[in-house]
Amino acid sequence: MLIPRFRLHRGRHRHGQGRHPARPTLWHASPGQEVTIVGFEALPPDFQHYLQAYGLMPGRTVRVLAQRPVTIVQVEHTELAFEPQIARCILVSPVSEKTPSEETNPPTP
Amino acid sequence: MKDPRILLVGHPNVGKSALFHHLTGQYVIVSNYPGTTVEVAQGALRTRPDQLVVDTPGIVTFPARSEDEQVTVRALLEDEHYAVIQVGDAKNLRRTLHFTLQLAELGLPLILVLNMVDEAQAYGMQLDLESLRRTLGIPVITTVATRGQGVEELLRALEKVQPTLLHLTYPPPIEEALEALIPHLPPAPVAGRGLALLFLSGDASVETWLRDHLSSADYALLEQIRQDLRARLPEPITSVLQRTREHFIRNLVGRTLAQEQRGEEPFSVRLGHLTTHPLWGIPILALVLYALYWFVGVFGAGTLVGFLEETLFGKIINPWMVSHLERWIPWPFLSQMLVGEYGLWTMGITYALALLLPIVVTFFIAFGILEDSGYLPRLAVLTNQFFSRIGLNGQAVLPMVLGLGCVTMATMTTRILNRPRERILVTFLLALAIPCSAQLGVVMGMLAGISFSATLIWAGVVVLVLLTVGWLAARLLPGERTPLMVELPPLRWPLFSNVLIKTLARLEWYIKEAVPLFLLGTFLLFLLDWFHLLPGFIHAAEPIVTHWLGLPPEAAAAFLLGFLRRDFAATNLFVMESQGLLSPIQVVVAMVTITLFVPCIASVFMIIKERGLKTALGMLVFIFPFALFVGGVLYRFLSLVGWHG
Repeated sequence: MLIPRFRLHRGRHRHGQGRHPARPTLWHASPGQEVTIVGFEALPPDFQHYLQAYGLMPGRTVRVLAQRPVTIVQVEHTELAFEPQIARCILVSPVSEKTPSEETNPPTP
Repeated sequence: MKDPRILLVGHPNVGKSALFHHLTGQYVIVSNYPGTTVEVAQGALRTRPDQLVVDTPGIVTFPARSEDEQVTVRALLEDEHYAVIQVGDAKNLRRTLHFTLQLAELGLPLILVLNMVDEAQAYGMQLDLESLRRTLGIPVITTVATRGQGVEELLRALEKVQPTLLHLTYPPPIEEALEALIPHLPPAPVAGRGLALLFLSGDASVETWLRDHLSSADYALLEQIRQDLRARLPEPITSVLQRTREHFIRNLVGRTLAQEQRGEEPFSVRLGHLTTHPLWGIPILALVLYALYWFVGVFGAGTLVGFLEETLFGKIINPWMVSHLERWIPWPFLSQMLVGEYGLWTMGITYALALLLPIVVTFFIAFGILEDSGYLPRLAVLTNQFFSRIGLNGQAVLPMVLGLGCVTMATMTTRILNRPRERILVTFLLALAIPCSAQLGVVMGMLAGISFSATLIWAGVVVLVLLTVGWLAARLLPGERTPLMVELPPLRWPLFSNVLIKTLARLEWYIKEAVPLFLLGTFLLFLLDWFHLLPGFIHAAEPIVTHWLGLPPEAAAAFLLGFLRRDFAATNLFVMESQGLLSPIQVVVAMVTITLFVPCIASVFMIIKERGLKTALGMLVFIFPFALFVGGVLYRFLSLVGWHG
């Protein structure tokens, strides 16, 4: 098996509930919002590595395009779609909170 | 060892195959979705015929995750390379450069091709190529591969390519592990440092390669060094490597990329968002399906087939052939073999060219347009919930939709799926319940002639079987479902020339594969008929065909053809219906049964190749009796409710 078994977060609430969580994840971001990736939790290392290869790595800013039927984000000029249980494992901070050293995507055309 | 080759590598859907076409003059299928190429293709370099160029499946990063990605890693490891051309998407520079660094560390004679530079410019991106070249120490070329732009410059760069010397310094624990590993590595076509980095990343293909080239004691030593490093680091090795590369790339991109502000989003971007919208995505999908149905079902299977079968073959070509060949050939065996009831021309060729070719051509054109538009991966988003019910994710829609074109090709495409469990499930469902274009066209044509409810019953039963069997199989197969993660390519206008070339390439493949089987099946029927064995076979099949399925005894001949190709069987039933031999209920039962048959003998061979003999046999043993079982149950159900079309 190429990917080890892993348990992803399975939230019981629909998107939009629990707006101010203690540890915001990509799943909590609204469509149109820009967020900075902070880290991952409960994702196996090789899956994290795979996400990072697409540009979802700590310090990068991404734009959330949709949350239904799945989460869709823009990283550089690529659109990536993944299920909410992956989005719930990606920790983020709103873009206004980013530090000067953090990188941003090229502005949306 | 083979002669050094030129290898084309890069992320999925960045234009490797388009560039391969311009470098070699040889066409491989090019589309706008990740996973079009699942095996290597090779051809001679246009300007130097003794130099081989190899096109590889796209890979997101090392270590490889799926079977098609492993093909690329093996291609990199197993042979000497004259040059490695990394094709990257110019508008996703950072992502491209991450892979460049991984390749550069392998010490390969590397050239970086930033493709789709026109799209990057349209987004307001300006690249400082000279600075990129200087820092990376490799040739960097911009191209628009679909138009052949930049290919001449690439050919010139190939003349003077050198092994890459780029060297990133990692944190001390990793550098120490590398120092310990490198002396124990066997000679390889790539640099020891790069190979050691891949081993530390946990690349399964590299591990296999090292096991093959080292004694078990030496391999155990490498494993021990890796374990020690893991114990020393507070986070996964790959995260540390990735962060070091990211730091390098951040500085490099800061110096080499200027981003101009542009106005509002282009229409294609907004349309792309609508296609995956939970509300608007559905009517757009319905519109796409209706357009497909109209073009293939109404125009292809109706208008074109009507003209070719009834007018061209029925009134002109076949009467002429029959009258002349019967007169010219004095031996009845030979003349009947060619133009009799089961004649190679009057049945085999007529079915293939007059009945199925128009359907296949229209489907391939429509499908080529869909592929090149970038719409197909968006279906993965829309259908994810449906596939999650059968233990899969929306990515399974790609091989399934490709199966509507040809199940044999689609079986090979299951390589893009990440886990063996998913590959087995999708292969099984493809073999069981996905009709190929030729059969679909015949089925649509027949059912549309009865009533809309007939089409609904057929589709309803097939979808129900897909869901039920998929649900059961997903529960029986060990392993967990993988959540969806898919890249959505931009929507693009399809290039007419690419759709045309692709249609012709697929058509050539169809003719080479289907026509010989049609001729073989026809010849088999002719022999059975000539030696008066056909009535005996029909009689023997009566308990199943007549008593269980409620079909006329002659339908047994069609089912016999179904073992070779199910579209051939459907065509035979189509002819029976047009002769008034089948009632509406019999048409629906026959179409459902034949749809659930194994697609064709070629697909069986492909299943054996991809999934192994044991798995393939298991599938066949289930599928044939199950198809007959469902057909019989449906016949009884429709009779019971008194459905008559």
